[in-house]
Amino acid sequence: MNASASSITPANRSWQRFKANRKALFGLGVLILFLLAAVGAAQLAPYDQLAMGASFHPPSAVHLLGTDSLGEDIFTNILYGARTSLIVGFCAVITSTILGTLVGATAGYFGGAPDTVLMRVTEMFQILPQFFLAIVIVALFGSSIWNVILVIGVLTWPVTARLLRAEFLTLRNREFVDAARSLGMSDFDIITREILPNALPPIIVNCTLQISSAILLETSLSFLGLGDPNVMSWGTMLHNAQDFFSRAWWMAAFPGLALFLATLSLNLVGDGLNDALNPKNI
Amino acid sequence: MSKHLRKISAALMIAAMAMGTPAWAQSDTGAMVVGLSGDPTLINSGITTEINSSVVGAQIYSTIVRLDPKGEPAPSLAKSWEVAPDGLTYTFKFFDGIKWHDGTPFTSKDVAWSLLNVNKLYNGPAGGLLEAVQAIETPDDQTAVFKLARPYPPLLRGLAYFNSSTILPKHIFDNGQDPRQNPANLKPIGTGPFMFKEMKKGSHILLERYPDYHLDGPNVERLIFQIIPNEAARALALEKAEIDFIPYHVMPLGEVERLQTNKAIAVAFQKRVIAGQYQAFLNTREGPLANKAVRQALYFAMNRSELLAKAGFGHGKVSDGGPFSSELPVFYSADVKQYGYDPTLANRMLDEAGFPRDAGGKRFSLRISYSLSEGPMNDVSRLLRSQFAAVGVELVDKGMEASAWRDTSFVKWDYDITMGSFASGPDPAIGAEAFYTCKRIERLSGRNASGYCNAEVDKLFEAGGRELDEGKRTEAYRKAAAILAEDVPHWWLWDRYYPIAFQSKLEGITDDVTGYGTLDRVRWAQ
Repeated sequence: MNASASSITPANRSWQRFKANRKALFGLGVLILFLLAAVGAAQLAPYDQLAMGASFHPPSAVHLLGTDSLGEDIFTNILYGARTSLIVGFCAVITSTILGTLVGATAGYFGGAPDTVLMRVTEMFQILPQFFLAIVIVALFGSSIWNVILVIGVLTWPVTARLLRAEFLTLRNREFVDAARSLGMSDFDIITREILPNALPPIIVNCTLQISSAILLETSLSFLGLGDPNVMSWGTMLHNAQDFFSRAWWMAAFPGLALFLATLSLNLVGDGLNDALNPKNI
Repeated sequence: MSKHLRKISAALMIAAMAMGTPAWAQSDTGAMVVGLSGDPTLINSGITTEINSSVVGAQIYSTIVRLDPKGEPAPSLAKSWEVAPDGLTYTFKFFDGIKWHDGTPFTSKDVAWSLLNVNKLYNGPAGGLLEAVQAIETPDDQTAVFKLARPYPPLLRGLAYFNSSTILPKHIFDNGQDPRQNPANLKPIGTGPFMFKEMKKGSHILLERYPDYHLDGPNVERLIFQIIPNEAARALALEKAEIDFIPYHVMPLGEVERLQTNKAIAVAFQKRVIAGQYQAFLNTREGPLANKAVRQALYFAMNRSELLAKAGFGHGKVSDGGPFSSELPVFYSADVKQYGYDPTLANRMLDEAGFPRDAGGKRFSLRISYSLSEGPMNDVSRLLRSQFAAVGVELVDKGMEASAWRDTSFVKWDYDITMGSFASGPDPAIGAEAFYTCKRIERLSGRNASGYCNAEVDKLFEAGGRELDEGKRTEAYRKAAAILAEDVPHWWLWDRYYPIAFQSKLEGITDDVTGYGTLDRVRWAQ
């Protein structure tokens, strides 16, 4: 193969399309910044995570974004909060995607009784009021960050499952699948090597969007005081800020802004990926 | 769809929080509105020690005596009383013609039955207060005679506290059933200045003036308790005159400074003879805290001025009297071992106690439990995490919901450090004793959960509780305080001052020294 041929692989074509989308690029840029902040929080933070200075110090050169009621540096907390948010976002979505893929692929590929049973179970999860269930579970089993991740993961898999099932339903009767089947490929191989790669694009887009809703869910829990008290989170910062709105606006404004930027960037990237991966949008 | 629903419900919640200006608000001088942070679970302080219940119950029920602004016993249900010289007999004469709100006449039998069959059995402090009382005789409807097994000087003042000594109607509670299940716990019938009218969960409790109240007052037609969970919103409601009074236990400490600048609002410091302290119980049974040197070292590692300034907004005084708050009259003394902030000393003591730092600089880790609804405790925990990290001790935050906290700390004893606000008074025999004596190592809320047991301390508390001579009592208690300050079964963080805020046109609020007294004398200035 020559160079010009390799430059038009599907992945490459998608990247070209993604690159042309300025909003998506902006989103990707911001997201990378947050990733860097999360990974390098310990190195980037101007203060130690447990350091306490003067209370209610307004934003200045000493404390870039001010300090909170106990004298913790807001900028430092936002960096560590980014770490928590992204860990929760990614881990929860990995959990939910694994669950959703298993259920969706099985239901969509085999159809019949397994499909009926699995889809009824999925529907049962879908009708549960997510947020209130999350509150109850965290209140009952404690609010460690891994519990929160598990709760969010377990509550959000049905969307992935339904999406994947629909993809499998249309793909399982295509000629290339029939061909694989007549060549004697096992069901497992057909699912993992033939259908799944072709069903991935909508799943990837869905993942990106779910990360942002997982981050929002974790923030909401922490805002209500149900987050893990041993790790810093933007929701916890907002929770601590609510009694001081009139006194120290920076305590609420900056974590709010960080949350806004993080979810916005994930949504922009998600939209960009959707356009880039969808063959209809050429 | 579900996303939209979530947004809508969130918007509704915010609207509900911001709304809540009922018709009765806005400077209606016939009414007074008190702000609360949440619903009382029940209105019956004969059973629960919850402050919300006492604050509401004190307006509906009565106690035998009350405390005047100087803290001296004054008539309430009883018009006069006599204490025998040997301290073993108390005779109370009650006012004539007192009626319960349902019209039934009040008699001395209500007093005897209520105290011995409800309060003593179901209310922790009342159990201690009435321990020495062998029998309550009722020779006639207007007289009650308390017979004591041994002299117990704190009894008279203790009977003035709604939190332990609320008198309940015998004709309603004496039905052979568990008083904790009685419907009157949410529809109380009392002898106090206000009658219960309605209670809407999460919104308000409405009381109306009782025209046949046997003492003077009350001076307002309606008394409303308005539930406002958010601290900032509560202070704002006071500034907008939607509420008239914020009692001590729900005062947003961070707002005090701002409210002080508002001329329409008066900020005062509630005199409270119960002398509350923020303190941490230490589980002395197991782990590093079983070692006295570790308890002392970590007490040195604690910057309590910072805790008080940042978490308590300066409303208090760093404890320097060991187990007795400086607000506790007579018995308090600063002549005990002092623990100033000294991380260097703390580090050395921990090294010597056999807890060296590991490669990561860490010695050991401890769990710190508290109730999330107890104002500054979450902030204290965050500050301590930072202060203890400096001496290589990691704290794992175990903040939890109030009833779970009581259960894990005081019933299961499943904690390392557990903190909250506890009373050292009104008399050490009622307050402090419950935390430090061996016989109080009981699986009950507010008892000796740290498992500390020292025969000498027991002897001193025993002597202090019996002794009639105040000089000798003081001496016994001060000796006990000195031993406790040396042994540190608790870390006493700071002695609480209690700011309250109310409309400056309201008169008479500061006359109450209990913090949850009857508001029958409160009136609007003309």
